[in-house]
Amino acid sequence: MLYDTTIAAIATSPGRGAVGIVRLSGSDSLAIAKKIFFSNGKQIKEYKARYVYNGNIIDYKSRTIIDEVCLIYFRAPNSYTGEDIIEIQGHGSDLIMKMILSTVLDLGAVLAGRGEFTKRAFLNGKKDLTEAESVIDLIEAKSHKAHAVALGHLQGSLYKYISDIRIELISILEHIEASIDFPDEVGTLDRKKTFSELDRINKQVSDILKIQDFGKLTTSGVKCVIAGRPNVGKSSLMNCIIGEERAIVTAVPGTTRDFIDAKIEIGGVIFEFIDTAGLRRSKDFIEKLGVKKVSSLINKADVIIWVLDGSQKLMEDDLKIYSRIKNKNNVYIVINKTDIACKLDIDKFECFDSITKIRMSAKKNKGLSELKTILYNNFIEKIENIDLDLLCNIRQHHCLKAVHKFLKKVKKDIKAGIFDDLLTIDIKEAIQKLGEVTGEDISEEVLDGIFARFCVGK
Amino acid sequence: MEKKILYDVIVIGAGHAGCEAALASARLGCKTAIFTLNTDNTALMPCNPAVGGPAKGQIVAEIDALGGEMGLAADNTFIQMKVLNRSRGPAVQCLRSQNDKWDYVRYMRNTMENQINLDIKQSMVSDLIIEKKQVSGIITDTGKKYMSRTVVIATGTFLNGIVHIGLKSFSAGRIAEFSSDNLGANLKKHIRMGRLKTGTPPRLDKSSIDFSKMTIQPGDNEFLHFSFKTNFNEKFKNQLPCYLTNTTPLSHKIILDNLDQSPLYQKVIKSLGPRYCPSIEDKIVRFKNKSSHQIFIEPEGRNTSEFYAQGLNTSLPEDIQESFLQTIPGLENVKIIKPGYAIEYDFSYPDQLRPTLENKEINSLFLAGQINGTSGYEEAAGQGLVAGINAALKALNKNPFILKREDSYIGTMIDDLITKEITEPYRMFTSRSEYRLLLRQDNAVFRLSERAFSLGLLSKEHILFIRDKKNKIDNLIDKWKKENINAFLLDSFNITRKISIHKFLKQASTSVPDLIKAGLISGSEAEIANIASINIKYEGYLIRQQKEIDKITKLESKCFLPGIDFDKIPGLKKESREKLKLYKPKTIYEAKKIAGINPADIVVIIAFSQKNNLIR
Repeated sequence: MLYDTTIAAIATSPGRGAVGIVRLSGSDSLAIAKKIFFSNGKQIKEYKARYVYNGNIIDYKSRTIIDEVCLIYFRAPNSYTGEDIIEIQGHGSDLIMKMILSTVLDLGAVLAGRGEFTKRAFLNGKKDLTEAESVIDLIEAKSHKAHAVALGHLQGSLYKYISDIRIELISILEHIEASIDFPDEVGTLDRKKTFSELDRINKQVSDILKIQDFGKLTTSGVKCVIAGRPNVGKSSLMNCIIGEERAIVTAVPGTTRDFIDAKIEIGGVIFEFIDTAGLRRSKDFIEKLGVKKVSSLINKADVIIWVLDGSQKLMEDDLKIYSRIKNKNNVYIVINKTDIACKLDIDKFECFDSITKIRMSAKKNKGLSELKTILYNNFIEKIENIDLDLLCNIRQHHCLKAVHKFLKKVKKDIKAGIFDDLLTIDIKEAIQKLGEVTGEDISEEVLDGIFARFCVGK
Repeated sequence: MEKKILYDVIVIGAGHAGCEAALASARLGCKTAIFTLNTDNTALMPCNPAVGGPAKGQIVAEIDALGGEMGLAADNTFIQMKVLNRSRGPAVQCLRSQNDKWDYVRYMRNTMENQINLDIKQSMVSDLIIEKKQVSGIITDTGKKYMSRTVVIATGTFLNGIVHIGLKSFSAGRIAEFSSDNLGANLKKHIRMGRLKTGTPPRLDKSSIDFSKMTIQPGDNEFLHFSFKTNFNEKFKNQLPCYLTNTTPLSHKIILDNLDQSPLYQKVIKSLGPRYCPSIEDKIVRFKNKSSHQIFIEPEGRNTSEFYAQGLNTSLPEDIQESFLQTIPGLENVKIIKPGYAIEYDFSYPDQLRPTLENKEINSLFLAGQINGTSGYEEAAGQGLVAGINAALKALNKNPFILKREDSYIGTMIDDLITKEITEPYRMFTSRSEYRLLLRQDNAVFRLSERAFSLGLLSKEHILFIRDKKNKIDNLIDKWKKENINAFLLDSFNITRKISIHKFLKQASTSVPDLIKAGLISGSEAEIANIASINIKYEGYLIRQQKEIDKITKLESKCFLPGIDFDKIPGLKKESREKLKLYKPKTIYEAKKIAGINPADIVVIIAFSQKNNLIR
């Protein structure tokens, strides 16, 4: 067969539904399923074809459960495509579907192109030509759209952004190629200059990757870390969030016993709350805050909820905590225990003026909705305001990550004094990956550029 | 009564393509004849008297590994030789020689004269004998017929050549040589032809040049060689220098003021010339901001006062040529011996060829060299070799010999020629190859010589020499994996831990001279050690390129069976159908490479051919 790759895609339409399906087709489908599907905690040794299995899909990397699913194996050639197919039926949420897809892609499956399942069905004689004509039309329509080919629905600013980066890289490549093919006329590469150019280009790639991370918040959740000195009511706040909220996704102990973690949904976006409550058992928790784990937790947080005790004056320990979080974006102050007489003198400190404060009583379940509203207003609106055009799909995101990796390597190689002919390999790979996002080929383009920019020739 | 002679292979044209074709055919045991308009111009270098350079040097090494002659000819007749791209990496390093133009002609002519099975004929071929899509011989302009099993056309710029100097133009194959107009007209009956343009600079009189105003450009002071057959000699001690000078703002002004006399800018010349070899007029018009262009002044030989002015291709009138030349430092009083000129000529669209360089429509007719729209002696010679080998194999009823993109630059070139559209003369660049790291000058013998040996183009002695060298390299790499670096290297490279030589060489800043300095190898091992070191340094990248090749090989193994009729495939777009009929791909991979064939077409083709058992 022409195709020896295994493809995967979300088969159901996006949005919330009762059921969502991720489908794999190709010779590795079963092997991939075996790695991530467990029924009663055990792997299934012999899959029966067309038999519905119930169990859990795990994220292969983190070994955490993604969803409870039904799984069906269709053995080649008795399947839609004529190849081995695995169909995973999970709960119909975009987040779950994307997590399942992402883990099968990590295991070597390739994201299916539009109509690719049908195309394979057709290639394997499962559909005749007339039946498949509609599919061919679809593929043709796609390839006629020149640049838009690989872009799918994402054009406009992302296309412009990526092609600008790509053009800059091509121009660096052109210079190296010209100096290799026309050594008499074109001088050797200015490595210092090239390094700084690459550095700037790679920053642009990082920037767009950062936007993806922000965009990812809509699907993979906003990380909210609850910080505060002991006895300010962090656990009560956590309990209040868990207890009141019906849309809890998980409420299990975190990766270490120090943290409690809960996911809830507000306005269609997942918020993951992480309580550092476990830390209070430590004798000197402030010192413990310096511990790497907490720092990294704070670093990774999208939101910090700094809890203060409303019934007490601001204490030195509070300020120590503040020193840890003052450089973070999205810090909110929860003034807890408002059911007791207010003694907090926070207004005396000018530096806190600009921070949004929410008064609540976690114990009495008061103020939670205000917290949620504030998070919604300050966060979800921002998400909605980012340029959606600059968001990529999973495949494009993978491409950009690869570009970032290649460029980092080129920079390292330039520093190490690696020869030009080797530098071009990784630059080309980066350009090719960018081209996969924009749908262009490189070789002729480089030559055209050389002739346009350098006066070469005998 | 007419006497009929039957040749196995007839080659038309004795330029760089024709010579390699005829030699290869004769060496494969075929009764061969080569026709030329003038035996005194055998393997003439009508433009730059130089061989090699980026990608071209690699091609010469490939020709040599395949038993061709070009490398030996260059090694025997060079007046200067140097390594280019030393600082840009081993994969793109290459040799370039300046050659004595007339020594080169003499060397090649002698080789041809001494070659058994090869007849040399000075005669103009005016037509081919073609019946039922099968070529069976040629007819000369005196009406004599020569019969042959196969024919190789390697006529260069000679088909309907028109030379332009200023607004004057006249028919010529090259300046002062006949154009082959009848053959040109007759070929058009069978082959789709187009028109291209190229040019050459003026030749200057040595006695009128003031070299003291130019920068001297010497060769490398060491023994260098294209051919693995060339033994150590001391010719490098007797090299001639080239000289570097440059155009001035005044030269540019003169040229710009006289564009009304340029056939290029007055649209007298309509065909396209190569972008990589622009005329000086073009350079000045297109790069207005550049106040100066460099000019290399190169001797055409040891016993001639003609100097070649590299960088000054022009078709302006002679007196304008003289006046702008005289604005160039060192050329203030220059006298022109031969003016520069442009030439337009017919070429055959190479997409009509198979990878063997045989025409797809007319059996046993092969085309090689500039007639296929290429430029450059090396490109021509590479094609000549492949066409000659295949013409001979066809005459002998043997399997064809095909070079691929991944095994050689020659294969890359032929693949480009038969699958891509030609809009300008095609020259090879290293950047045209996606496998540049694999296709090096240093490893050409290891890539290709076994195949040449099994064809019969290399002797037992030669292949044993190459195998021995290969073993030495492999053994050295193995040895270096086990052997650690010594105290000297630890010290001079500030390395704290003992590492293997293999690991040491993987670092960017290390090289074979370091090992020599450290006393780990002797100077005589340097050549072997260098190749071993390249293999070590490139290891990871070579593996990556090999993976790419493996993917393609898989696609290539999907062959269409002869019965496939692209007209019968439903659902194909009209243009795609036309392209497929034109290019006649033999494998899915070939079909995929055709410009304009999109994934949807491929899907339709695969589906149809599988359903009807037309694919293997």
